[in-house]
Order: sequence, then structure tokens, then C-alpha cells
Amino acid sequence: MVDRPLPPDEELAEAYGKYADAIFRHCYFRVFDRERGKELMQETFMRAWTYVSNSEKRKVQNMRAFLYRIANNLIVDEVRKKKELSLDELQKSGWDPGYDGVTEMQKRVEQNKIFALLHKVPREYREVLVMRYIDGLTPADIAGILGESPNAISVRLHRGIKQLHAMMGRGGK
Amino acid sequence: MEHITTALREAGKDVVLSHEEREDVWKRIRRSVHTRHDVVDRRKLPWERFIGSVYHLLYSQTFALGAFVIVAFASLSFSVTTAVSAALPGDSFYPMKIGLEDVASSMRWSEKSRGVWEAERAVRRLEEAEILATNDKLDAGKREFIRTTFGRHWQEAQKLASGLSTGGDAPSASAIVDELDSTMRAHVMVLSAVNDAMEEAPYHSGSTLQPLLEDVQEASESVYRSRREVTDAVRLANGTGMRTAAQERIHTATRSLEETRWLLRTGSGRYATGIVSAVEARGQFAVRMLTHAKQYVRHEDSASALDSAYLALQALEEGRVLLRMELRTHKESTQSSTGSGASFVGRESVDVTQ
Repeated sequence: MVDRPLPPDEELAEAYGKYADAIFRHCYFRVFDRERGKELMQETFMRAWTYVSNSEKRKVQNMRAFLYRIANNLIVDEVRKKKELSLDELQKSGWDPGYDGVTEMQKRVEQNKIFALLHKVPREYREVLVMRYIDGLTPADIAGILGESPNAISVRLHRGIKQLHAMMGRGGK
Repeated sequence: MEHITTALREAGKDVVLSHEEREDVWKRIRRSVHTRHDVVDRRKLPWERFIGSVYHLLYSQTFALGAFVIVAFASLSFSVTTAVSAALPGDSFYPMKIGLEDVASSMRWSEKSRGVWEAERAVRRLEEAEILATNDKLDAGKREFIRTTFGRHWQEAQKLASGLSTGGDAPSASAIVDELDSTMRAHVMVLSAVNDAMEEAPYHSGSTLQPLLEDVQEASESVYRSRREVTDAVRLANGTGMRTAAQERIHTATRSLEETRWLLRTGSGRYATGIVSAVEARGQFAVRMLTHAKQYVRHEDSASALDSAYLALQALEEGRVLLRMELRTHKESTQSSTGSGASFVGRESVDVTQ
């Protein structure tokens, strides 16, 4: 039996249902702006749709990796165009990651501290940390998206964690 | 470090879109996509897929590389072909030219086409001799080579024509000897003029065209006799055969007339006035003879039609040879005026217009 490909709208609707949150989360933790994260997620799906609709032969093998790659490129463009806002500025302007009901104050404090430090980690480390621990991608997936070897990703993850740890030890300095 | 990764994982879980936000963004995506003209929200039709695939093919690197290779190969082939066809005895490409002629000869199956081809090859050798002599490059070795090959080709053509004539195909034999006779007469005229110019030149290589000229004159007489015999054979044949031969000769002469007109048109400005007048006079004569020939055919006088068409053909052949020679000397004088001294056979020195 031939496995017929889905039409572009159905294929994207299915992908949206599966990956919208993950892509949004990825964008959010890279730009630390909820509205901008939503816009980037929207643009990611629009570009994916355009690609899938206009190319009969260019079948997307791995939709999740494809979406991450688009999102990542958009974020890199965004960062190049506009220097990222500092965390202090974000907090002053009412930065809120979107918690709706925090249960443990302790946990919240700890997470806030890590986010603050995550923002200070160099971009190359932050990128893989977000993908690995927040998006839940494997080093092999990340390597595929960024076009690097899994070994290089693992090394970068290790260094990123080490740096975060060192910063926490120094009290965020 | 465990608490760091755990905190990151936990934080990620809390960052989600609300149901309304998800719906809202999806609506915006759909709206935006449908207003973009470059996005089609459907499977493409077969013809669209075909156009698309052709478009991708045309802009692919493979296609560009393939096209480049084909163009490069075609250019190279064209250059080599041009060099081969223009090669003269002594040139590095000349053996290839002769080899290609032999191949072409072996691919002509009918006796008529082989005879016409041999006649054509004989004429080519004469043209080569004329070019070499005009450029003062005809040494004794080349001249003897041309004499030998010319003799072989015209004799082969004549033999084939005789075979056809005795075999009962007088019209085909007539086509071969007509071609040989008219072109040889024209080339005798040109070779005589070039030979005179060579002998009168103050500094010449000592090698004249005389032996070749004598050969061609002898061959021309022999071919003329053959032509008379073939014509007689045609006359003796039944009326239909003679009529066919006459019509074929009229057709050949008409084609020759068109070619002469074309040569005159395309070479406008490169011919001396005297040459143009001489060719035009021959053209007018040919037109008159062709008109007579057609009238003779209509009145069932095929023998007279054959004679008239032959006269037209001969006049036109003379005109064409004059034009070709004029083009060559013009080219030569243009080259020498920009560099290496004048050729000893100038435009004025060859008087073959009468």
C-alpha cells in the first residue's frame, strides 16, 4: 500500500498540534520575550508551510528537526538585528515567563536564579542548553539541527552546565 | 550540577501556550499563508508539477554544467570542422580532410551520387591549387599531389558516368558529366589567369601551374567528349528519358542561378565592379537560356532544352567561380594590407572577366 503524503495544510496542522509548544518554548528561552517568542513561532510555521507547499519533491523527512532549524535561523537573525534585552530590563518591565499558579516558592526562586544566569551564559552554550534541557532534544537531534557533530554538542553542553554551576557558586557574578 | 538541569527541565514545562493563544496563532498563520501569492494551499496539478520540474531543471547546477559541456563540445567541434574543411595540402588537418572525404565516398551507395561526389572532389582539388597558387605556396610537391588526386577523381567520375550511360541510365550519367564539364571549363579559365599572373610576377617561387593547367585542359576536353556522347545517348533514348534529363538539367541550372544570386547578395561590397558586371552578364544569359529551355520542354523539344539548359549551367558556373576567386583575393589583400606585404596576385592582376 502506498503511503500517500498529506496535503501541506494537513501536514502543517498536524505538526502545529505536536510541536507548537516546543517551538514556542525554544523561541521564548532564546529571546526571553513571550510575545516575541509567539511571533517567532508563528513565522517558523509560516515558512515551513511555504516550503512544503512550493516543493513537491523536497519532502521533509523530519518535521521536528526542520521546524527547529527554521526557528533557530530566525532567532540568529533576530539576535543579529537587535541586541538582546538585559534580564534586569525585562524584569523591570514586568518579565513573566507565563506561570499560571506557582506552587512552590522555593522552586520559583531557584528557577528565576537559573534563568538569570542562563541569560548571562554565552549564546553558543545557551542555545544547546535550551535545546537539551528545556526542549528535551537529544544531542544527536541538536547536532542535526545545528549541523554539527554530536560530540561537539555534548562537549558544549558539558561546558555550559559547568559554567552555570560556576556562576551559581559565585553568586551569579 | 543535577539541580541545574532539573531546574531547567522544570522551567520548560511551565512555559506553554494557552488554548486561546494556540488557536489565535494558528488562525494568523493560515490567514497570512493564504494571502501570500507564492503559497498554494493545495497539491499542484500535473502540468504545474511539470512546469515546476522543468524550472528546477533549468536552474540546477547539473543542467548548467551539462549545457556548458555541450556548448564547449559544439564550439570545439565547429572549430575543428571549419579548420578541417578549410585545410590545404601541407596543413596538419589536411590528412583528416581527405580521410573524411573517403568516408563520405564509402557512404554513397548509388553510382550517380558517387559520380557526383567524385566530380566534386576533383573540383575541390582545383580550388585548393588556386588558393595555394594565389598565396604563392604551391611548391612542386603539392602541385604533383594535386595533379595525381585530381586525375584520380575526375577519371573515376567519368568512369561512373560511362557505366551509367552504357547501363541505360543516360539522365544520371548526364548529371555527372554536366557537373564535371561546366566546373572544369570555369576552372580552366581561372587557372589560366592565375598561371599567367604567376609567370609575370617579378619574384615567384619558380613553380608554375602549367602542368596542372595542361592536365585540367586535357581532362576538360575528355569530359566534353563524354558529355557529347552521353547527350547523344539521351537523345537516342526514348522521349520520356530525354525529357527527364532536360528537366533535371533545368532544375540544376535554376539552383545554380539561385546560388549565384545569393553569392552576389552576401558578398556585396567585396567584389570589384568588373567582376560584378561579368557575373551579372552571365546571369542574364543564363536566365535567357533557361527560359528557352523551359519553352522547348513545353513544345516537346527535349534535345534543344538540354542544350539550352547546359549553356545556362556553364555560364552560371563561370560566374560562381569568378565570385569565389574574387572573395579569396579580397580576403588575401585585406590580410596583406594589415601586415606581411602584398600578394603577387592582386585584384587587378587576374583578368578573367571576359
